[in-house]
Amino acid sequence: MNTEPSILEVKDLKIHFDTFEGTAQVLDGCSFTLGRGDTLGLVGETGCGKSITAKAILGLLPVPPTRIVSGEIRFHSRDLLDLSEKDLEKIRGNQIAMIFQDPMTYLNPVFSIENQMIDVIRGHARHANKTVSRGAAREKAISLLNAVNIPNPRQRIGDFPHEFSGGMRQRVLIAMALAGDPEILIADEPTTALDVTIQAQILRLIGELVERFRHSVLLISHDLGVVAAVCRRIAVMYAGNIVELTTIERIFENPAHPYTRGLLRSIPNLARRKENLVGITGSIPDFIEPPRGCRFHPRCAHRMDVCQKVKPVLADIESEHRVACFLYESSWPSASRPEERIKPLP
Amino acid sequence: MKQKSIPMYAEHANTSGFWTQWKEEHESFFRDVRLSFYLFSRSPLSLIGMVLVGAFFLIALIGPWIVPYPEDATGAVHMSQKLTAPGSQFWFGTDEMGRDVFTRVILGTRVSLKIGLIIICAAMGIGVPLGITAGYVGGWVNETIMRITDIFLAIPGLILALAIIGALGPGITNSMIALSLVWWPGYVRLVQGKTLSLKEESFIEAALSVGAGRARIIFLHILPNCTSPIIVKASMDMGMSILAAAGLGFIGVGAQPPAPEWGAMISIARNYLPNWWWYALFPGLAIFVTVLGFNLLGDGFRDILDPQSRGYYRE
Amino acid sequence: MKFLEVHELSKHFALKKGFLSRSKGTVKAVRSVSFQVEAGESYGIVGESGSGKTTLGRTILRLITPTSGKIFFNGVNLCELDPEMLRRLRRDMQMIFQDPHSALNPRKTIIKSVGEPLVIHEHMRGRALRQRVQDLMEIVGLKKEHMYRFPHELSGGQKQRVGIARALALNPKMLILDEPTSALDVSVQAQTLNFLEALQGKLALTYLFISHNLSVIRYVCDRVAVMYLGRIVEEAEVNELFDMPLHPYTRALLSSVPLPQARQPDTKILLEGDIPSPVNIPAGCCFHTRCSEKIGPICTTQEPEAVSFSSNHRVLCHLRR
Repeated sequence: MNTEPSILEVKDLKIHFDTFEGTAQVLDGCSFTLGRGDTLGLVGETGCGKSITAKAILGLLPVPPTRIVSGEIRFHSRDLLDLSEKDLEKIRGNQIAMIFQDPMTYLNPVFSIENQMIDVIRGHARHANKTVSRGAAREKAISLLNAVNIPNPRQRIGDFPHEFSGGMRQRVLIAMALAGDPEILIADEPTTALDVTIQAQILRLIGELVERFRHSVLLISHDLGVVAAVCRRIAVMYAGNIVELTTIERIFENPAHPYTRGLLRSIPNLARRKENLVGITGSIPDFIEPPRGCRFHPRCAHRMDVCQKVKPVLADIESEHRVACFLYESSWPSASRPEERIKPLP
Repeated sequence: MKQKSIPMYAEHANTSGFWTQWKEEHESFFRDVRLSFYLFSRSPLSLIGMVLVGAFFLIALIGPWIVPYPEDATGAVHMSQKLTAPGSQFWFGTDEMGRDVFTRVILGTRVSLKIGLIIICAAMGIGVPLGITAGYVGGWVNETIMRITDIFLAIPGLILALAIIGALGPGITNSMIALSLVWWPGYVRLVQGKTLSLKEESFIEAALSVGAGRARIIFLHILPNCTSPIIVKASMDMGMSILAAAGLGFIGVGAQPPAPEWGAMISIARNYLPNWWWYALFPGLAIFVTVLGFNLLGDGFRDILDPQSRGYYRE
Repeated sequence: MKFLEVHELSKHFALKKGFLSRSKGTVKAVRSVSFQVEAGESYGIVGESGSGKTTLGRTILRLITPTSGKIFFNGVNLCELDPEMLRRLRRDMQMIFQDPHSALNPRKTIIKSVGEPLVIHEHMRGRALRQRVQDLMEIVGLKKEHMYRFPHELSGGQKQRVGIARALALNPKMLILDEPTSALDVSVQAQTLNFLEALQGKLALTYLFISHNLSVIRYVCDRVAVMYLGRIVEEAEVNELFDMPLHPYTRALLSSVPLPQARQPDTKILLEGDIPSPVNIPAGCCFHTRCSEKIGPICTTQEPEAVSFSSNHRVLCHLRR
């Protein structure tokens, strides 16, 4: 599907969450790949499992009550789920870095940006069995701040987090994520806490960085517009499943899954005069006793008998367009028998 | 993340009367209680605390009826059996007057419970209203109350209590008054902080915008939301205040012998260490177990009442 | 007589620390704002954080006392009312809050929250109260059994409907909606917006709709005011504002929104820098620090005055004089 070799491959990831009332099946067999220089957006509403996927990749999920039931996360042919905490630490930040939603909570308020960045840079060097002097680390920090367009980095590096505005703090956080020269950047709602004019600045910055450094980016957002501004490919998630995985052009021009269509019809478009928003009736399902078959079927206008019994699996309906929906059964490649694409329920 | 499945007996609620109606109205409350028990049962230490405190209350309640020698609680003297080692007749041995240590430790429970409850209730009675007033009214009222609180907090509690007892004279009642007077500032700080943060919540604003008056906001919106931290602090403080009262008894300004109070007992018993070890050991153990129990229970309460951990397991 | 008329309204907050230290400056959150709302219309106020839009909404409801200016609601000046009169007048004007979760007391069941205004104003209780709350729940599309739930047992969209039910309890004439959908998912947002629109038709309500989300504003409102650093910099009928924005800030704001479409427009106007602090408002036109269409020293020295472009379109910019 992607000509470049994939560096990250998530295969059939299933995550359960033990709660007071039972086991919530929050991620139900989620698979995707990320190639070098690829930009993939994970989109979905609250509780769809997009953040959990990102945290699972970095090994940041609290182990009880979370349980990784099955699946693998292959990074350069190593399964991240098998690694020890110590090995994960080497990968985190160095090879896979994360940008978070709220920059203030991820910067330590009592240390200056200079101290925090030098720590991060020297920490990365230590993991690579190298030593970097404080002076050299400081120079690198300044050049990183320069790369994320912070004005006067040499003067401002000694400042404390609270002396920066929200947008500037997010830039600092991006600079810190770049410090280890990572292959993959995972950005979890990086602009949700920011104003639109600042969001536009940050999105442009991320776009420029990706073009310059050829990072692979996994962007997690609830905002289709944000994903459209940065990513080439998009995965739409619903209730713990990826329901559609395709390119940005296709998702807007030819959305296939009924949920994707409903989502697109729910967003008021700024550029157009008033049209009727349709919305999606009902609400997200119970995760402890999820609907049998397709998890979207109780809200779906096109539901068929099979949807209530069998869980559809992501399958190609055209090149670079995978959908998990029985409406497209007829366009599944005839070479592979449909039975293989359909997973019977236990 | 998750939608509660809501039972559908609403349709026949009108016909099936009071009991169904009542059950429907309180279902959420019982679900909350069940969640509390679930969270509590996940922590063995809190359970131990619960058992210890439960035993403490039980013994305090039924003590006078289960002790073998009730008359030993006061000034009875049986010189023939003085300082007998623990055995089948005297489980915890006897003291220098031949009184049964077991009886006195058991009866001391009730004294300690009374001391703890009175101190905590008095401290809450002073501290909570002051804290809410300071936090809600704000301005100079807040400044005045909080600076006075700071002054009290700046003086070590036991020293201040000793000074007050010095003025009032030694005795169990006076030591309770003294400890109550030094205990309230903690509650003011706690409640004032909580009130300040609650004041910023939009449900307070919502109540204001539908026309709620000051009393309504304080009693129906702020106070119920302050109860969790107050309960946690009170259960921790129960142990601490019992310890403090025992301390006063030990240095001779609290309960006076022959009253069966643990601190006062140890105060005399230390003269008989180490040969007649049981005399000091058992009252000491009683204090230790009680304080430990309340602290574990307080920790447990903190965990189960923390909205974050509740939300975590609820979702 | 206009339904709501806000005249030269200002709200300044003094920044104070402790009781011995002196004032450290003034936050000028709302600076002489004037606008009028007709009965039955939806008036939108859009702006970024620090623009003063939230303070403006709360000041109109008199949750905050204004520093100066007048608010006429049905011809009555709200700024001159004593607390008791104000309490009675609040029946006609209610607010929907941004975060539906924190707008409900976590320790009270829904029936208590929704019934609170009825208890306060109509001294309702028992069966009558239960019946009225049940009717309200029906209006907002919730079931009877939701009445006895705690807020944490409902979803975000349901909680927002509870907030709406509470606001409707006293049959208000006007709702001030402060970011009513920003905490909701888009599919729920669409449901809520449609519901609000239907409600407006059914109950003849007037909406003052405060939001940072331009798309939502465009969907819901009839007229829109754009706020920047406490001032309304542009006001127009909704399609005119979105199709023909005149103020450089409005234009930049509109072009900053990432559109849910494959091809992003190439003509993006990126604003430099951050919004200045409302403690230190730039002299002259408050937008000059970020404006790319400055016409000369007049922008940095002289505060622009409102220019009427057409009968329903005014803008605060030297460029348009």
